[in-house]
Amino acid sequence: MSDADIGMVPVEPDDILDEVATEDVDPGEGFPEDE
Amino acid sequence: MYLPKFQPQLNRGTPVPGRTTGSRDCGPRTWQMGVDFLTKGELVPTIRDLRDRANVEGPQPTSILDAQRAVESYVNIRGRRPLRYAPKSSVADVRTAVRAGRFVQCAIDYGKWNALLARTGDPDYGDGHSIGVLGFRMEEQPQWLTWDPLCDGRRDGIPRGPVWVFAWKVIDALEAFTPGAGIQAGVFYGGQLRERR
Repeated sequence: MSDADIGMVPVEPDDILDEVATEDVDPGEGFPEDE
Repeated sequence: MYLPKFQPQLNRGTPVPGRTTGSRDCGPRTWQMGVDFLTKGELVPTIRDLRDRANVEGPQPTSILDAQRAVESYVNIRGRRPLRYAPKSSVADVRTAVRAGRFVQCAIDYGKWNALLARTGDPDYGDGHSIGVLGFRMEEQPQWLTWDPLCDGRRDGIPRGPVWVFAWKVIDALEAFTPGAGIQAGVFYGGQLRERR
């Protein structure tokens, strides 16, 4: 028997808007610019 | 490149009645590592703080929209951009993000994960689970560095900490979470600015 338990539940696919295209994000954001 | 501190689930976080291992916190543990990455270790929120911001009390399970609510609540961090989280439903977007060096939360089916991998955090678990992906390498095939909070030493012989996995296996497990309905993932961005003194 597992000692883990359900931790992640789905949302309605239509609720995922995909508004931000990853390639459109400012390249300066989210990156270790100085490395 | 800065790597976050690995955040295991075992014996930590929100107690679950009848359980002994503080589970159902795979989502918030993943968010912790993502926020750590975006702030280069400056901010590693507690599980309670993350759950409060997501408005999902423990020990309830969480979703990628809960993740977005929690992560994007960190707006004012001195010297850094507001933290952002982009929910994603396409494998192509996840591939792009991983290759770009971003931290990505992946909602996976752990039964599929166990079927694909020889050694996992919990070989007996088979339901929805959250892992992070941060890191990419090519060794014959693309491999992704996975950050699975269940790789926490809960039993002998299992990995402890981040694990390299063939990218196609991560994608298969992502697709098995919501069969026939795309995937559910989230890309962490914003945050870390160059510190100038």
